[in-house]
Order: sequence, then C-alpha cells, then structure tokens
Amino acid sequence: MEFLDNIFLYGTSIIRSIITWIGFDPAITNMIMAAVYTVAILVICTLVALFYVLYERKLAGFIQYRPGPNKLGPFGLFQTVADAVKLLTKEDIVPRNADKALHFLAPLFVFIPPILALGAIPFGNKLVAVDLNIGMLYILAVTSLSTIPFFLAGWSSNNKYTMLGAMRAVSQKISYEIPVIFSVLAITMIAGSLNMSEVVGMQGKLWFVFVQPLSFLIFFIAGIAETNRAPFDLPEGESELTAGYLTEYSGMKWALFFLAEYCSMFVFSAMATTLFLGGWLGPVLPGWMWFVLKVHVLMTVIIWIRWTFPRIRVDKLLEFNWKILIPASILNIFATGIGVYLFNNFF
Amino acid sequence: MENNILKEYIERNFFAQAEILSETEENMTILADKKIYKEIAEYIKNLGYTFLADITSTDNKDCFMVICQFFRYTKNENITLKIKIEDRVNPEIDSLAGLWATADWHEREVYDLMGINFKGHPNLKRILMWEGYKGHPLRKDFPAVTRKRSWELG
Amino acid sequence: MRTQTYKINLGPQHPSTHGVLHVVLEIDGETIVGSETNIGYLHRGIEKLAENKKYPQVIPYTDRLDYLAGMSNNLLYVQTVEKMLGTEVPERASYIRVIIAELMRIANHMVGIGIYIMDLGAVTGVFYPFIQREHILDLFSKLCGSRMTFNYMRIGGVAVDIDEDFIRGTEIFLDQLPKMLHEYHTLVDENEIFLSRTKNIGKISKSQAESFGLTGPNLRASGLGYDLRKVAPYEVYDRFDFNIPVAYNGDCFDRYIVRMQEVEESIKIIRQAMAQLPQGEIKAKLPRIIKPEAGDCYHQAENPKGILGCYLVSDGTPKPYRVHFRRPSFNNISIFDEVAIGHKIADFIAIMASFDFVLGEVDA
Repeated sequence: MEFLDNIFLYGTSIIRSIITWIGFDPAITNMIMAAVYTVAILVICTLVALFYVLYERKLAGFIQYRPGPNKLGPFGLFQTVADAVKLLTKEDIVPRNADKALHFLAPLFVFIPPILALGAIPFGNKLVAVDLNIGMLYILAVTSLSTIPFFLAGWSSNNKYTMLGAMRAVSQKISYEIPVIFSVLAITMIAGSLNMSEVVGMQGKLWFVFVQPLSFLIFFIAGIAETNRAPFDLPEGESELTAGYLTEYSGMKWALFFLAEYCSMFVFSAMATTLFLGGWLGPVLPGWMWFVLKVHVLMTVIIWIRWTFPRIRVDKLLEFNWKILIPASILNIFATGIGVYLFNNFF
Repeated sequence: MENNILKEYIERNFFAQAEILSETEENMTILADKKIYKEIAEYIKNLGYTFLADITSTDNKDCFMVICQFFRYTKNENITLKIKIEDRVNPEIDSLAGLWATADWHEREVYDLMGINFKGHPNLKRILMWEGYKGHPLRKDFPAVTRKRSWELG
Repeated sequence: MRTQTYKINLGPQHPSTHGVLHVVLEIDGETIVGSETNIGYLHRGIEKLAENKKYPQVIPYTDRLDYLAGMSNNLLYVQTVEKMLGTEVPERASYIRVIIAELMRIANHMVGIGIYIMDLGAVTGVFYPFIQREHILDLFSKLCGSRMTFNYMRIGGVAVDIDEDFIRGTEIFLDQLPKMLHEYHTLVDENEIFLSRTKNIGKISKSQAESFGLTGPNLRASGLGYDLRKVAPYEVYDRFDFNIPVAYNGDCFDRYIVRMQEVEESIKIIRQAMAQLPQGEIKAKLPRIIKPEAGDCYHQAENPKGILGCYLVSDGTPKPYRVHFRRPSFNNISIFDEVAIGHKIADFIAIMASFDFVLGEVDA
C-alpha cells in the first residue's frame, strides 16, 4: 500500500539518482528534474484530453439514447486518436485578412495556463511538481491569463462572428473571475494558508465542502463559466455565432482549442477537489487514485450539465454573475469572517 | 353565402367596373377593374375578411390576372378577387401592402415571377430570384425547358 | 467616444437557419436594430415545372415543398384536383388520409420542438423527439416505401391500403408517445434557463399575426384559434372530437407549448379514426387521363406548419395551366424583420427556431 501510494515519488527519485550517478552537478540535476516534471505534466494534459474527449462522447451518447463512438477499437477507444490523425492531416485554412502571427499563436497560448496551473496542484501526498507556499494565488493568477488567447483568436481572425465571440469571452471570463477568487478567499480564511498541500492536509477530519457549501457551489458554477462549458458556452455558442471565436479555425489549430478546453476543465476540477473535497485524502486506495476519482466525479457532473441544459443568454449570464454570485460570495466571506473570529476566540 | 352587403356595395358604387363571376355556399368570386382594386380590397377587409391568404397571378396570354383570396377567421367564407391587367408591356397595379403586411412578400413574389409592378409597394424587388436576373419565369413566353442556362435568357 | 452599428450575415450557411435562409442583421453590440430577410436560395421553380407535367405527375413535386411533412402536401394537392373534378373520395380512403396526415403532423412537430431546444443550446433535446419521429417514418416506409418523399396520396384516394401491421404499429406507437411527451415536459418546461430564453421573447400580438398572415401553431400561439380542421373541415375531420390548443402570449414559449398540445390532440384524432375505420374501396373511379374542365379553384388545408393553399387553373388539357402554392412558412417568416428589432442575437435564434419553418417550402 505504502509502495503504491508513493510509486510516482519512487519513480522520480530513481531518475534523480540515475542522473547523479552519471555525474552531473546538482544545479544541472535540478534543471533536468524540472524538465522531467514538465514532460510529466504535458503527458497528463494529453492523456486527460484524449480520455475525456472520448468519455464525454460516450456519456453524451448514453444520455441521448445512442451508442456513441464504438467502431474503432474496443468500445471505440481509438476514436480520439483517429480523430487527431484526421485533424493533423487537414488543410490549415487562414483567412486572407487575418493577423497571421496571432492567428497562429493563439492556439498555442491557450495551453499555457492549464499547464502552468497543473504544476502547483498536488496529485497526492508530496506528489506536486512545485510546492509553492502561495499555490492558490499562483493558480488563480495563471488561469486568469486564459482570457488572452481567446481574445487573440477572435480578434486575429478578422471576422465579425469571431469578434463577437471574443467580446463575449472577455466579458464572461473577467466577470466570473471575481466569484472564483472570493470563494477561494473564504477557504483561505479558514485554512490560514495559501499552500495547496497544507489546505488538503487540514481536511483530514472534515472536507471543506461541508464547512463552506455555498462557497463550493459558487466556485463550481463560476468555474464552469470560466472554462466555457455549457450552459455558459456563449463565446462558442454554435447555434448563435456559428462557432464564436473558433469560426475561422480548422484542422489541428481548432483541435488544440478543443483539447485545451478539457485541460482547463481538468485543472478546475483538480482545484475544486483540492480546496473542497479533501484532495488525495481517503481510505484504502492510494492517494493519487483518490484524487483522480474525485476529479473524475466532478468532470462527469460538468459533462452531465452540458448535455442537459440550454444555453443561457449573454445579458442574463452577466446579470446572474453580478446580481447573484458576487453578492452571495461577499456575504459568504462576511459570514466566514465572523465564524472564524468566534471560533478562534471562544472555542 | 349571404353577403348581400358586398353585392349591394358593388352594384351601388362600381356598377360597370366589377362583376360577380360566381357565388356558392362558401365562395364568392369577383372580377374587378384594377382602378378599384385597392378600394374594394379595403371594403372586403372591413367586412370582416381579415385573413389575406394569398395573392397570386396567372398569365392568360392576352392579359395578366392577379388573384387574391380573402378569408374570415370565424367562418368558412371566402372571397376571391380577380383583377385583369390588359397591359402586357408594362403591367401595373396598386399594392395592398398598406392594408396587410403579408401582402408585401406575396406581391414581391408576383413581381419577381410574373413581372407585375405594384404601385406604392415599400420594397419592390426580387425575392426568390436574385437581383439582376432577367425575365420573369412564370410568364408563358418564358421557356421551362431550354438548352440555355436560365440566367442567359431574357 | 463614437460608436457605430455593424452588419452581420446570418446565413445562408449558418447552423441554425435550418437550411439556406439569409438574414442581414444590423446590430448594436449584441442588440438587433435592423434586419432584412433574404430568401430564394432553395428556389427550384416547382410552380413552373408543374405546368409541364400531367396532373398526377405533380404529386411528387409537392413532397419537396415542406419536406418534413410530405404527406400533408400530397393531400392538399390531390384535394385541390378532386375539388376541380368534383370527385367524391371513398370513406375508407378519407379515414386513411386523416390518420396519415395526423401522424405526419406528429412527426413534423417532433422535429419542430426538437430542433427548437437544440437551437437554444440543449443538444440532447433533439434526440428524444427524433426517436418518436423515427417510429412514424418506419411506419410510413413500410406503407409506401419512402421516408421523406412519400408520393402516397392519389387523386381520388390513396396509393395502397393500410394493413393490420400498420394499425398495430400505430397503436403501439401511440401507446408509448404520451410517456415521452410527459418526460419531455418535465425535462424542458420547468427548466429555468429555457423559460428565461423563451418567455416574453419574440412576442407577436394578435393583430400583428393577422396582418402578417401567420397560420398554424404560430397564429394559435397569439390567441387566435383558427384551424381549418374546425372552421372548414375537410375529409372527415368533422366526425372527430378534438380541441384546438390556443395560447395567448404569442411568445416563443407559447409557440412551443401549442405544438406540444397539438401532438396530444393528434393522438386523440388518430385513435378515433382507427376505431371508426370503415371497410371498402380506397380509390374513386376516375378516367385514365385526368382532364378537369377549364376553370380555376383555390383550396387550402391545415398543414402542420400552417395553412397550405393551392390555386389551380385548368385549360381543359391533361396538364395544369397554372399551379400556385400558398406556403405557410413563406408567410410565417415574413414577420422576422419586424419581430427581431430590439432583441439580442441569441433571442433571434430562439425566435427563428420557434417558428418551425422549412426552406423547401419558403422558396418553393
């Protein structure tokens, strides 16, 4: 059990000892180890995207009384791979009047925030690439960068639909950032720490979701909006804006946006797991497995919501944020503050 | 159909300009001069035939006909109003678009396919064929089958 | 700061224009301030083509008008020819026609509401009704060998008689349909997002609806219960007991709910028609070559999407001199330009979808 729990840690220490045995000096060893972590995170990103694309299609099929992909390989397992091959071989179409450099860069930029964020998320006990003591702040900061690639994509395509999509993306992402931060703030007040691993460690007796249910709800809703998932998928809004900011993208560039969506969903679910659902904590199974399970449950709920609800309208979306979510989260912070004060002074 | 009011009205005002072609339980067909078209349509509307179901046209080789169908919403009663347009070179008739909004598109369709101009129409341009298309396909001198492309005709 | 409106082309290629409708929207931010609907991208000249065909040869063309309700178009055309000829249709044929037309209405409304929910962003909503439509199309394809272009109605009757299989299949279908409708009501009707997207959106007053010649569920959602099956019963509709669902708000939600209720009424009609179904001929005796006397005739019937009319002119030859169709969708969508003003783009999509139009019919 102990061995399974730490299997990845053993892996890294083996790699480290091999490198030292070859005879690099410590500074270079650290750099190589950083590269190893980066590769590991990239692998996680790819696997997550590959798996959840298929999983979503299967689940959607189940919801809609149809089998979903089932031709390629057992249970259609190779469907995503085949799709990726198809997309790689597709012609790359760039509009004549597009800003070609930005049009090319946007799909690359879109991967940066989730990859950066994954670096600070503890997948298990000590299983974290960089254990920052301001982890929460760091993750919030890098995920808020994700507005930029969407705007770049919409703006550089030089198309009215993409422009509308980009405007929607900016207004939506920036305004939903606030409830996310406020709900995380409530957790920080209780935990008294911004370190992700420490926050998990404090949830040994009671998960924070039971202490802060409202905060979890706000975080979850705003998170769905942050990741552009239905019913908040307005920037794409395929029935209104053809494909929003994605209208002028085809082939692999489009696929990168698509895969990045799943990565940022994963990052968001991982954050929710860490902050509210006790991270890697759980009996019997190894820690990282608990973590993956909890994330998987959240991902399933997000997908389930997507295939059930109609899309909300753009003004209602912002109204909902400014008139309901933000006041609720501010009230929650007040209540938490009073609670923490009483707890510290009287118990 | 007990529509003596309409009959009286026609006899009193438009003795020579309108005639009743046929009358059955449900339908009354009136052939009217194009000068009184709008006037009589307005009268029909005020009588309670508020549903303008259709405006269409036929090419009778020597003349054009514009045919309107008016219905009541409450009873199965229908007035068919036919207008003859003798002038084949420059056929023109009043527009009903001011009375019924639906006449707008119906008249544009007639204009497009039959080439009848509607005086006072707010936006008379082609609707089914494209701008710049030559000829009016539903006229009898427009060939239905030809070796030429349709846009090379006219 | 200076702001300006700009124009976007909604269509002809756009996921929610249901074909090739082209709407030029002038928008201020996301609010529509001007709109111009362009049609004609699917114009095939059916009226002109029909002039060179014999009377029975026109029937297949009518399938292509409203291709989601081919049977109803067939029916209207043959009724018009029968009216010109003065033919009496055998009773059994009349009953079969009613059963088929009502099944077609259910199939059409299933597409209508399914696509509506899909355009609002809930893709799952399209699958549940489509399964039901599939049952109907299976029945039809067993009956006449086709799923969309049926060519089933004949002048003076119908092409083939319905058999035990068809009747049993229809009964099984009707037995499970209310369950699905109930499920759909619970899935959609009380959904907060759905309500906020449809209530008080695209309101059409009664007088507006009259003036624009709206018909079908779109008219009845505006508070005017005008249905030809009641006002001017054709075939044997006067022998059945059914209601005309009417709603009074004239918004998108009402147009949806009227369709849902109409399906329930159609179930009632089909059940009664099947119970009363008499034995006998399915086709009237007619001469081999159909030559109506010179003259003209206008006839209309209640199609799923509204009132389909046919104006027929005969010059005594076997070919019609002039055929004109009054297509319900053509009239219904002419109101878009007026309704769109002041709404958001997303609302306009909701309005478009709630009208349930088919471009084959709009462009003829």
